[in-house]
Amino acid sequence: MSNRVMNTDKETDVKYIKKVTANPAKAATAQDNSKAGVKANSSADKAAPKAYGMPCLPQHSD
Amino acid sequence: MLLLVGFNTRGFVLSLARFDNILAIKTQDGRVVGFHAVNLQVARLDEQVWTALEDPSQVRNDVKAEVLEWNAERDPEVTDGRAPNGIRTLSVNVAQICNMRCSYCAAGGDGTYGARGSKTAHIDLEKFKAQMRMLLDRVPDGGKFTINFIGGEPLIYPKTIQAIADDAREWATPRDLKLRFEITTNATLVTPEIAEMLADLRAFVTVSIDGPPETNDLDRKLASGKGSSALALQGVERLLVVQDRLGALACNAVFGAHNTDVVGSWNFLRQYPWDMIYLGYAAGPDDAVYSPRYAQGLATVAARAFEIGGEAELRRISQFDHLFRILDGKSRIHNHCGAGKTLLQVDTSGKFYACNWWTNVKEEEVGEDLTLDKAALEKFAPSLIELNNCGSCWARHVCGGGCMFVNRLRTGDKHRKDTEFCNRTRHIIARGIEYYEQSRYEHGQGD
Repeated sequence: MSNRVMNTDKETDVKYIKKVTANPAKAATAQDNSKAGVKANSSADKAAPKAYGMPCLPQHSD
Repeated sequence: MLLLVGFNTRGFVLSLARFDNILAIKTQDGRVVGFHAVNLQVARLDEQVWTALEDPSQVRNDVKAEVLEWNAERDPEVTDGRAPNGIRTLSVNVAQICNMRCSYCAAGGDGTYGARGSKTAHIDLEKFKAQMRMLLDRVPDGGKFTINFIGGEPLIYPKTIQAIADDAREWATPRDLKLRFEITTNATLVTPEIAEMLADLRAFVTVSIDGPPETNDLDRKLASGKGSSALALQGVERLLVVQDRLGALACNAVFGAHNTDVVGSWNFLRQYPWDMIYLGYAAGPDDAVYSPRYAQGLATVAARAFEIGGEAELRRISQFDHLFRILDGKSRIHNHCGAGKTLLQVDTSGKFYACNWWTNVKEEEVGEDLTLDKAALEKFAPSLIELNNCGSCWARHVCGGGCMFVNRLRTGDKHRKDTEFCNRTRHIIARGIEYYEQSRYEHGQGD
């Protein structure tokens, strides 16, 4: 599909794309939510935005 | 542009269509799921959107207009997950020997990384302490720092781990640095005393175990030649006693040419109350055969996990939890890992490397003793999406540009992409996006 073909006026308000809503409250990992994770190492273990992809060792992800 | 990716030679097909930033995934139950590669948004798409991507002449203009509008949209709430400035994780080869002889070991099969007979089986503790202090001194007051114990098998030397942790705490406390201790172990040497030590460290423990004994013992043998499962599971039981005082307890099963039974392994491992299950893949020369099998196996596991326990069960598997976290956190990823940016590896002799799998790789050394090679590290400064030329991949802001170790292993150049890695990773991400859409849409959060 090219940009040329796609370049056209919108005619109606019908929704073909229904975006789901992200849930920031769930942007924590099971490790963060474990009882130990919450209390362990104080703020070092709180949920934080991810900086990395899906690396080789599970703990390398922050 | 239409892009179809399939593993159809083995009975599995993943159908994707793409227009610029918009990816459409046709699921096996007939849904069409959309993903915006820049906004990290997920959507349920009308079948006509799929048609629009395949053949625009077959749909009305308003369908095309809606696709164009979404494609051009930029969500101001989405941020960029940039790495912090400076080294924040130090991974250390406490030992470069191992009590096991795993067939697929990335550390030379015996934990030595190929340096058999070396006098450096045990870390030079005093040299390491000085290196660790040097890096801790560079962390801003109140900042975070992670020390990751790997091997060989690090628990061959538990007193060394305790000594390092004690020194780190002593050095970090006056400046209120937040320390986190991590360890990857085969668990065969875990005694009640060692479990207690790890609890005291509030360690994040990852146990390397591949599945049930009949699988695990084929490739994860003790140095004596016997299977390791009995001892490993004994160690796991001892860790479970202190689990509520650990940072987390995870398992790491490795698949590859030696084993592609992801389903069988997961069925066994999920019986234990791990905080996280990692089902990883060890790249090798025959990945064209085994990588798709692994990907298919992981897709089957995801389907079963979601069926059994929905999002919660699916997110016990590390890769899917990670994806959900990125999508819910609305944070674009620019680096697959922190190698050379925030992560350094130091071996038993005091040499630094950017990646923990490059121990003993001479050309990948980035320093030694108390000297870091600034010029060598500067080469790791750009994002991995840039370095690995991933700017046009739809999965780039979830993957983060791929793995330099795998690239080097498979293509001979750490910045030349490995096709199998890319296919495998996109497959996992696409599957995960399907379940994310299902989880958020079915809970009444559809727009």
